[in-house]
Amino acid sequence: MSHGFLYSALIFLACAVLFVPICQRLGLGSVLGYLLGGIAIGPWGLGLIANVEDIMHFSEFGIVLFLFLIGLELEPKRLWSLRVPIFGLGTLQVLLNMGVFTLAGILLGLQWQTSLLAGMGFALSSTAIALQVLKEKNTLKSKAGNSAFSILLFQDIAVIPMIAILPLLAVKSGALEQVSGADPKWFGFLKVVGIFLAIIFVGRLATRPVLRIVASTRLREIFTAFALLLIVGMSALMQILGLSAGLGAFLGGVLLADSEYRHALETDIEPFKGLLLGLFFISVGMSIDVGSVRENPLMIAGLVTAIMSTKFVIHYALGRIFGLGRASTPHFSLVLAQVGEFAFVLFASAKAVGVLDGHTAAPLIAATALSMLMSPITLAAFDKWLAPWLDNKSKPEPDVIENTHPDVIIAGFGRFGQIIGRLLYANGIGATVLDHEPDQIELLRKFGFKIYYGDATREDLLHAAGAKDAKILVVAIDDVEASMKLVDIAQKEFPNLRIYARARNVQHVYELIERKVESIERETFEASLLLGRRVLQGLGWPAHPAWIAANTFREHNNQIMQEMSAMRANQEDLISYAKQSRVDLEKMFEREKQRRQNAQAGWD
Amino acid sequence: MASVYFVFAHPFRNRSRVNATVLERVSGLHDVKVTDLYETYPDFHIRVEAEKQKILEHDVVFLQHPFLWYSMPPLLKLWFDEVFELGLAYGEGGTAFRNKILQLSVTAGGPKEAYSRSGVEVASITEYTKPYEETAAVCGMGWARPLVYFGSEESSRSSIEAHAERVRDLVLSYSNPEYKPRDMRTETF
Repeated sequence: MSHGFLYSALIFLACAVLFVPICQRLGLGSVLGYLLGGIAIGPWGLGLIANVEDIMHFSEFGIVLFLFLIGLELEPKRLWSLRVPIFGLGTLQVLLNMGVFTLAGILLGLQWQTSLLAGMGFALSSTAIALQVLKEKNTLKSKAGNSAFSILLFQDIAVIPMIAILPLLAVKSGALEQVSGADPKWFGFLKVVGIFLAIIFVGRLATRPVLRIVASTRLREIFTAFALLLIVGMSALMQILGLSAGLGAFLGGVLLADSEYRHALETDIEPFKGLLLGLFFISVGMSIDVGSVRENPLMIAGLVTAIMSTKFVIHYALGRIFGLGRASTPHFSLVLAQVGEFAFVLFASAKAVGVLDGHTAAPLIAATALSMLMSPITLAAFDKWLAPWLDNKSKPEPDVIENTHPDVIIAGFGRFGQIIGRLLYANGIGATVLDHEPDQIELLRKFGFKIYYGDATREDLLHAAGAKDAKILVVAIDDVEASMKLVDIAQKEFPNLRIYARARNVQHVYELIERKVESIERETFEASLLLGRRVLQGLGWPAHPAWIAANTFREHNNQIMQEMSAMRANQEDLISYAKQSRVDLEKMFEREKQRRQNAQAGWD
Repeated sequence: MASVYFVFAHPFRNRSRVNATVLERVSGLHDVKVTDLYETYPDFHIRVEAEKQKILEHDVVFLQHPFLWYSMPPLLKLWFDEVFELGLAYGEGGTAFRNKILQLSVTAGGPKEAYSRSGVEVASITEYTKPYEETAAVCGMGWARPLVYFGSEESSRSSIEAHAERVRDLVLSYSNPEYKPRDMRTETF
């Protein structure tokens, strides 16, 4: 079928829009929606799309982007603290699963080569599915989430030797020679070290200044393009080396994790990742060989059940050994119970070098895809029935979800927001700062501020900045329109967020009052009042009466502002009211003066 | 010879006659450091370190203020609360103000009789100055007999001038070794 790009795009998008919301609504998660959609439009469903493998290869880039984003959230310090779960838990997970599955294959009468291959493939889990689930359930930062993530990361590393030994398993003799022409081992090792150093160097030293220059062009798409270029570059570097592209992207992310552009990168890459990952899941769905399942339903079903329950048991044991709580271990075990997308690659290349024949490969691939399909279903079932029961049974030690976001978000870090930020900072209260002025960011970063580059009125950026968990949003941006836009978004999307706003002028105050913003401060009012108070002192007033006069004036003025805001509908009324309030104020001062004079008669 | 730190507290100096006159007379004297609390700390943000330093540098802490509801003006109270710190002025290691003298000079709006419950007991003004006295005792400071000016509401200009002279004499009696005033510290009132 030679349908154009528009046709394919139409099918994919429609499929996503149709299936995902339904599954989401049913509490089954987005992944299942994509997978089911894929089955529906694939060669075994309606047959609307044909070139499944190409699409899968293309969309695998979504996983790369995903790993980059995960990397962005992991500062090097935190990654270092994960070294035990990555190498301890990770190694055990891969080796144990591999061993069990290989042994099972041999016992079932398969060739040892085929068994080992299947063992390797089944040992791996799906990074895409597991991470998506952890993210959706917001458990990525819990202890169980950390462990799951560590295993996935180690699997990414483990893939390299797996591919390397593939030719050694080859039955065909020609395949061996193909690979034996490779570089000697020590040279390969040097190359790896060299490229790692290059990544660290590029990531730490070069990208920040370049990012700043790119950001200062103020062309959003160029910033996005640069971010993608960065990821593609890292991935390409890794692939030249024969390492996983995802690993490269992940490292790139880690290196930028503590940079001030983190949030901007996150929000720019997120949609690409989402769409490509969706496409990837769809292509997995399409690749499910319904034919071979139908041929041998019992065998395939048995295989999937055996794989998933074996993995579950192994993960459960490992989880408990590595100190996971009774309540969180089942979820952790289940999240990693499916076979990963990498098994497709492994089985396909095994077929190519002749380790597997088509007859053996088909059920393995089908089982892999089906386990991915079953994963969200079992997880949903677990959450619905088993989890509440477990919770009741074993008073769960709550997994500590690390609160990585400060309570305060300051939008706009110019001369106004800056003072608020510095006051908080001086008192040991951290704040997430959003600003769109790259020069400002660099300058302030020098003084140790955590400050991120981005347009604060974008909902996704607010999400990334932790608006969901923050307590107070300080709207300190100088553009009135943007300020109102931000207030509207924040009130709609984050109703728990209390808003403290800077008002540029009286009109702006009225708009903010109308929206019932908790705290409003006119940007020049306090300064004028203070200077006015000094003028009174300059005229010979003692400091205390001048202070009282200013306080009285402030109180009355704020009251008038509130009342005038309520009367704003009729412009004519407003003017007469303004006159009226001046008279009121004068009267009030007069009253104050009399009261003071009477009260002080005896104060000598 | 002793140096004097003269602490003046009056929230509405513009309405004051006695205290304002006293302040005028005392300002600019040699070896007398004057601080008008309400002018120096209009936002009630007392610079504690500076105040500590001034006390440490002088031998006599001389308080001048009106009695407001039988007590000191709120900013002076805050000054005590913040400057007379634990570990500095009292408590363990709190010996910094030891052997300095606390001298009080207050004005009272009402006549003497208003400060005695029976209307005749003159000495009962000391009931109201008791907190100052105790503060001095806790800090190991010497307590000098307070100087009190009664009936400031009704006082004549000449009476005010005379009182201001008295306060000035008292300040000078501390700060000037040559100066020999009549010894008001032993005078009864």
